[in-house]
Amino acid sequence: MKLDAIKGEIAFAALFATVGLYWVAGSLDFAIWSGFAPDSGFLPLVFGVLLVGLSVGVIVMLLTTPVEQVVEREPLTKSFKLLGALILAVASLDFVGFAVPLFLMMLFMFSYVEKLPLVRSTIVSAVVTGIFLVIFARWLQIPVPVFPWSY
Amino acid sequence: MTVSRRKFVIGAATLAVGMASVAGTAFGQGWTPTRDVELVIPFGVGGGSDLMARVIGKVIVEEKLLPVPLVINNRPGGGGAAGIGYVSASRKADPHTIILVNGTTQITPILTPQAKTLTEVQPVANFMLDDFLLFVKGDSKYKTIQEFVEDVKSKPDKTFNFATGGTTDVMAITVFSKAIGKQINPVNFNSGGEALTNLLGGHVDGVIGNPLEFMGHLKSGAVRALGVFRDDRFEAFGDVPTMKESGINAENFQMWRGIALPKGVSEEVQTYWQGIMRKVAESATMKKYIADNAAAESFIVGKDFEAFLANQEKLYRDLLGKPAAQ
Amino acid sequence: MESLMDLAGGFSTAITPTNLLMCFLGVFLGQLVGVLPGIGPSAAIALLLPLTFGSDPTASIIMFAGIYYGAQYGGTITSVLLSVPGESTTVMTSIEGYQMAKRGDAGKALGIAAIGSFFAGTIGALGLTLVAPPLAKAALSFGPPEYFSLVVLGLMALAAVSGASVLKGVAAGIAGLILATIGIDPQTGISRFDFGAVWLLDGIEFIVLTVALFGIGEVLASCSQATEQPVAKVGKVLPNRDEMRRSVPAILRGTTIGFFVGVLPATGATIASFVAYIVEKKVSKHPEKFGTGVIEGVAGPEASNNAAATAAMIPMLALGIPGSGTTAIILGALIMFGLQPGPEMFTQNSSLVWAVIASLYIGNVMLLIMNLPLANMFAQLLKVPYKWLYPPIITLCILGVFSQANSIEDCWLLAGFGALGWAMKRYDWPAAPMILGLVLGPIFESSLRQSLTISHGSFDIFMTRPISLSLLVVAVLFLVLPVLASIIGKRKAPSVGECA
Repeated sequence: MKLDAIKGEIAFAALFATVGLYWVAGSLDFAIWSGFAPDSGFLPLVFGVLLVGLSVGVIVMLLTTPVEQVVEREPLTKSFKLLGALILAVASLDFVGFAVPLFLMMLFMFSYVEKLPLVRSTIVSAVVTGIFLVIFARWLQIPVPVFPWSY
Repeated sequence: MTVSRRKFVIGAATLAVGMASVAGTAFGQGWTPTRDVELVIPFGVGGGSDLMARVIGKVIVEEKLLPVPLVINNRPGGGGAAGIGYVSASRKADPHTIILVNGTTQITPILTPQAKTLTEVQPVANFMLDDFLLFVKGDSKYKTIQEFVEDVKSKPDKTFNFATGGTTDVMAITVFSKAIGKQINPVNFNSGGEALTNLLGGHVDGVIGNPLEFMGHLKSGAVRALGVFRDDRFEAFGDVPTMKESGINAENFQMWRGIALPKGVSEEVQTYWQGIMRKVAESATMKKYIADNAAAESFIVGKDFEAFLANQEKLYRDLLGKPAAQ
Repeated sequence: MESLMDLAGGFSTAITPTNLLMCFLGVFLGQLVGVLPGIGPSAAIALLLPLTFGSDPTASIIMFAGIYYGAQYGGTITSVLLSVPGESTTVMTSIEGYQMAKRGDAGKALGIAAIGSFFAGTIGALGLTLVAPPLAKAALSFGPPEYFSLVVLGLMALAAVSGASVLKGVAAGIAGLILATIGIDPQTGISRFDFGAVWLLDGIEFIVLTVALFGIGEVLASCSQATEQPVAKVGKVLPNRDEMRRSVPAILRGTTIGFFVGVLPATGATIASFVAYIVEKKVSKHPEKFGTGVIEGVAGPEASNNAAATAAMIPMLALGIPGSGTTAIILGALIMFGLQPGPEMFTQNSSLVWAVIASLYIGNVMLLIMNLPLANMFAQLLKVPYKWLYPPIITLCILGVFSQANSIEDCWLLAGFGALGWAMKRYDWPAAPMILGLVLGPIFESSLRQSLTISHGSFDIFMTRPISLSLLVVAVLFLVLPVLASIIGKRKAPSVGECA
């Protein structure tokens, strides 16, 4: 079924169109033109209109593309697992510092997602976390909250 | 939240040095810091205010003014709003946090409602004032401010274009426009450096700005300073007349830079930090830094600083046309 | 020839042991911060500034300059190996270079980048030696209208970096321009599209978007083949004869473009590398191969960003005005050392200026010597199977993005735009135009508004100024020529059909 095969793509283009619409609506909160020159609202309005137009164009193009040209996509599950791990890690950075979330995130990816040996995964995750934190927090003196008590 | 912060220790030896100097002997009684002090800079690395904060940090470390290590934390964003917000939200009443504040951190909330205002912090001391001068290109036909003002007055409003390097420059133009009764057309650029570039390229008629970027060009004659917005003449540029002595009744306009604490710290803590900042202000390094930047030393402390800030707030609001909400 | 005499004097200062050491330290540190995404040369210089306070200005400025151009070499490494641009100037490298690395040519990509950078850095230094003052004066004639037209020309290039679908490419570019409007409007000081968040007041940082779209997006898109993905072969560092033949003109073009774009204050090495990539694609006999790992697409932009980094020192040394964010900080350093940057620098501080220029030649040689063996060494990294490689890549992206502004919110943006980058890859939306939009957006908007303010609202200002007009004409040609070519091509096509 053609529509089934491309509905993800259409939704994605529609996302861009929505962003464009939001910008068009938002730009009206600002002055469009003042004195000699465009004011804060002018270019957001122009860009918003353009983005809506182009995204709709992409959707039209998708709908008019012959079915056989629709590309088969690879499965999504693994990417979602990684993205989920990334989001969880970022969410916990603010509460427990960097060391633990980064270590757990890598451990999860190595041992659960990639099914690599647990002991090696643990060692590699710990060593990589250590090296990166030494480089960033110590050598480059970036104020990275490393541990839960670093706040 | 009692925590130890090991962020950004200035210099490898700081810790050892800090521990070696016996805690607080220099200031005797009252409060002394017991753990790492965090110096928050609400701007990105490399700007003028960042440099000044780092000089303050350097003086504190080198002269061993604190018994504990000093860590620097840049919290850039939104014209200082992000840094002030960070201190007011997560460093409430924490005597181990100090933050750099300047005119920009005061102006941002006037223009941007969601930004935290300076009332969220406790001002400690001001170090310096940046002056504003009116510059034209070196080969300009205007030799004096009077010639220039006469020509401006003879043309319609907004005939003359002035480059600005930020909101403070726009406000200085407003001060000047008010004094001469004719509007100048401000063309806004992102930095004093860009404003200078456009003046040198002949794309604008003049600039009102801080002397820092212009010093070299002033000495070489590539730009000419017609007047300065202050009461007395500048030591560094003795031949530049003040606006008032040239018969232009422009308000004094200067930008300040100082240090604040989080809101809610005790009197003792404030007194302690005022003492430290006084020592910083008196150090040769700080004096040299201020002189190199063609700024004026102006150590204002405690209640005087608060009164000064209240005055500035009123001035800024008047200039921006946004009087305080009653 | 007077300048050659001065240069000789400069060399005698620059080869003292201290200055040689500082030069080495600078290029070494630059290489290091260049490798790490998020931390750029400006941050590194600002961090070292208080430590050098009170020491010899010449040695310190030599070191700072070394950090600046050293970072241009270092940024290439992660771009090629991991598709994580270490610096904003190496985004284009991660397009072609990463494809080369996937093919097993990582060594060659890094090798040609080092050679191209060396050549460009040295030619740039030569330009600085011979024509700095007049060139810097000429650059001053670039006012807001000229920048506006230059950016219009750059936006025309959106289509060129779009890949398969021009429509999607231009839409992505506009989305980049839209992202650029987030935060405080520098023209008026009021905030736009900040969703009530204080941390969005400064807008979305270029490097955050770049690392997210390229780095995280690439990992999420390619992880599904990670288990099967064979370990990449690691080939030679030195390109073969044919690759050399194709790279030399690309390096020459890249150097020229980089030098002239870099000398303009306020444009910088990033735009130079974009322009160089587009030009390579335009002049190539096989533009359709771009995006699959073409060596010219690495050589040109890499030469260009290094030439631009050197050229950005021309307005700094000759006029005392900053040519880029990093040179602005070096200027601040000069002031802290009690020197007065200005048009008199070449005469009043001639020993410092010439020592710094001489150190550019030395530093580039050091970097070449360092980078050819390093290219081979770093390329060995790809012998690690991808499934062991990508989790550390994600970690590097998180830490790099955090250190850009010490902000956890930026890490959220990383995750969000990483997911976007993945979806864009999945649905064949090119990421480069979005980044180009974000880079050019602020200059586009401010130069438009500045120009119209100066001209009191008249659009004539873009047409009556010769440089601005010629740039606009070139921009129109960019747009019209391919269309004309395709019309001519279509007319020819039937006749070809008849023959066959």
